[in-house]
Amino acid sequence: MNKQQYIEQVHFYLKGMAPKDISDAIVYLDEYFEEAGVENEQKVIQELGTPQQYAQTIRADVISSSPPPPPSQNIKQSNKTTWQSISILILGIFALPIAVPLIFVALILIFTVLLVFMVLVFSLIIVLLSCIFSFFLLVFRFFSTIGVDMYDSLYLLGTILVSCGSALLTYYAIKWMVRKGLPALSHWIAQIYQRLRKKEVR
Amino acid sequence: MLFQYGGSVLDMCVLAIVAKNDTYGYKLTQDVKKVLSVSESTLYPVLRRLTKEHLLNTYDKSYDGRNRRYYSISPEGKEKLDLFRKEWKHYIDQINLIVGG
Repeated sequence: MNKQQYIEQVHFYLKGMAPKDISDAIVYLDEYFEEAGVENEQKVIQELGTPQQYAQTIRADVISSSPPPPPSQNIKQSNKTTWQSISILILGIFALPIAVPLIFVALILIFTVLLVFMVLVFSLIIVLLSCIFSFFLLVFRFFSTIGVDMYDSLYLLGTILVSCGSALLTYYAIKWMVRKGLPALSHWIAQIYQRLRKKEVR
Repeated sequence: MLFQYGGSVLDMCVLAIVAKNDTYGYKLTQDVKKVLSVSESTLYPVLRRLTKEHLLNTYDKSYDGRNRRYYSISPEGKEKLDLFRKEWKHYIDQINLIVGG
């Protein structure tokens, strides 16, 4: 960075201050560099700190030493903000016929998804229970038919294995849904809620 | 330098230096730096504030083809400096009562 760039950057960070304050600060800085000489340019830059820091020290001092703005300005500003909030309110009222059904639809959607999820889990639990129940029933039947009818008991053994396998499968399915599906679902709902809120704020 | 120099001590030093001779930003900074450990960026806000409070006056003078903004002390500045000197003496005495020496 050279002197010119440094001064330009300080100028940039002083934006928003009174033009007189800015030009005074820039004149002083320019003169300071001139006095230090071209050969000391880098040294001066190093000692002054970054343009942002330098501008900050000037800004901080100007803020603390300048008198508070006249009250008439304050009233004007507050008027503006109340007018703004009133217009936002009016806009909101006009948007109500569209916004209310939209929010309603979103709520119904969320409710439906939740319901589907719960029904799915519930039905899986029923399947699991029936598998366990039939497993015990089949085992009982198997032992009562053993030695009487070989084909019958073989068939029963097969169905025992099938119920055993399907019970295990449904158990893991339920576990997966509760562990992964529930957090994903709540995350999704939270996202939708946040988006709706953002839109309302806008 | 062990001690931190806040606003009023620095104000007093700048007023005292300018009271001796009219001076400009760069020279003033170098003079203050010889004695106190201040960063180069601290002097401008001080000069600006003292000028705004009409304790210092400024005038431009060309030197070597460029402009130099000189600072000179105003009558109010001299009064303020006298007050500073009195207060400073009192302050030093009080501190010495505690620290001894």
